[in-house]
Amino acid sequence: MPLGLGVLLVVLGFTAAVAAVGWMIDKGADREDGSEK
Amino acid sequence: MDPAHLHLLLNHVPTVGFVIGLILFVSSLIARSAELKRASLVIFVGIALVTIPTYVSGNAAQEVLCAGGAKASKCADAGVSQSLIQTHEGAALLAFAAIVLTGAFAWLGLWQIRRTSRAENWNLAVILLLSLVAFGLAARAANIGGEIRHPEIRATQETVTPEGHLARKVGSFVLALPYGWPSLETLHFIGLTLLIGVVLMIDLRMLGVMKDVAFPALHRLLPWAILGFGTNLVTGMLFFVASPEQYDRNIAFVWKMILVMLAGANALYFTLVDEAWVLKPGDDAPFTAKAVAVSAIALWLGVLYFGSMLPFLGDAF
Repeated sequence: MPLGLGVLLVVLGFTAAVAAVGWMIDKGADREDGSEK
Repeated sequence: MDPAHLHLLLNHVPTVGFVIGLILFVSSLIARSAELKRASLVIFVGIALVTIPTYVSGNAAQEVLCAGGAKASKCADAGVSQSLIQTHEGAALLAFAAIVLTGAFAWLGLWQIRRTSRAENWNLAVILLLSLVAFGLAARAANIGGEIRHPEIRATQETVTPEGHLARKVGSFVLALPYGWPSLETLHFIGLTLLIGVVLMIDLRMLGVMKDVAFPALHRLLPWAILGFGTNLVTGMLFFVASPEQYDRNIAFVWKMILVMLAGANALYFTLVDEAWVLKPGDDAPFTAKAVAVSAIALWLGVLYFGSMLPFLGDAF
């Protein structure tokens, strides 16, 4: 696999995982605030 | 102070600290005490922060012990087994991961308590499970560490663990993967921007910028900063494990770690103390909050400075 593509895939994969965790925590804050019914 | 002294000074803290944290945490669950729970979560976060220098000073201690090198013959000259040191290093890496994960969930618990006065049950269950695992792994790593210099606690055969020389295996893997190091560098900068972006927004609000924003709205962003911090901890540790000799006696790295710990502790102010939480739109932050904000900006700039200066003040790369 070309170097640039390998780096891009690792970075995108890890960043997507971090974003998913952050999104879930933020959704939890929605429930806590009572703004999501 | 020699890094070997630092390792000897710190290496009991994770094990002993986790005993105290666990006792308080379990007591808080039995007694249904919110204050005990908060105290135990703060201890878990604090121990996680202290575990960073505890781990990284271990490699420096090995270099000192083995007279300026990490070769097996140098270690044998000093009367210690390099293989046992690397078994200890592998066990310590597992313990480090479990302790830091416990610290991360404990921080999340403190953040939830700040927002709703209680941590979510699923998180308390995760913290209990992780803290038990982390304590077991820390105690095992400490015991193997003790065997390096204490023949009286050694068995006849040298201790072996299922993970073996895990840190050396991970390090070799990172170095062998062509896109390993550049991927980690890119992620380290993504984590950095995430962290510094949120930190600056919160700290600048304390200093009078964006005063029409209430603090709880900004407080909601804090988990993103912690995710950035976590990203940098994971990628940073992979750099370190791959090439510890570049960092462990590098003065810029030592200062970077000291500042990271102080900045991490500084961030607790915004989750623990009430005076920032009650700030409404237009409110001026109290003096303490401003002082914490200035110190946070200074500490993170220091982390950036020493991170960039690793090859210039020190001898990395």
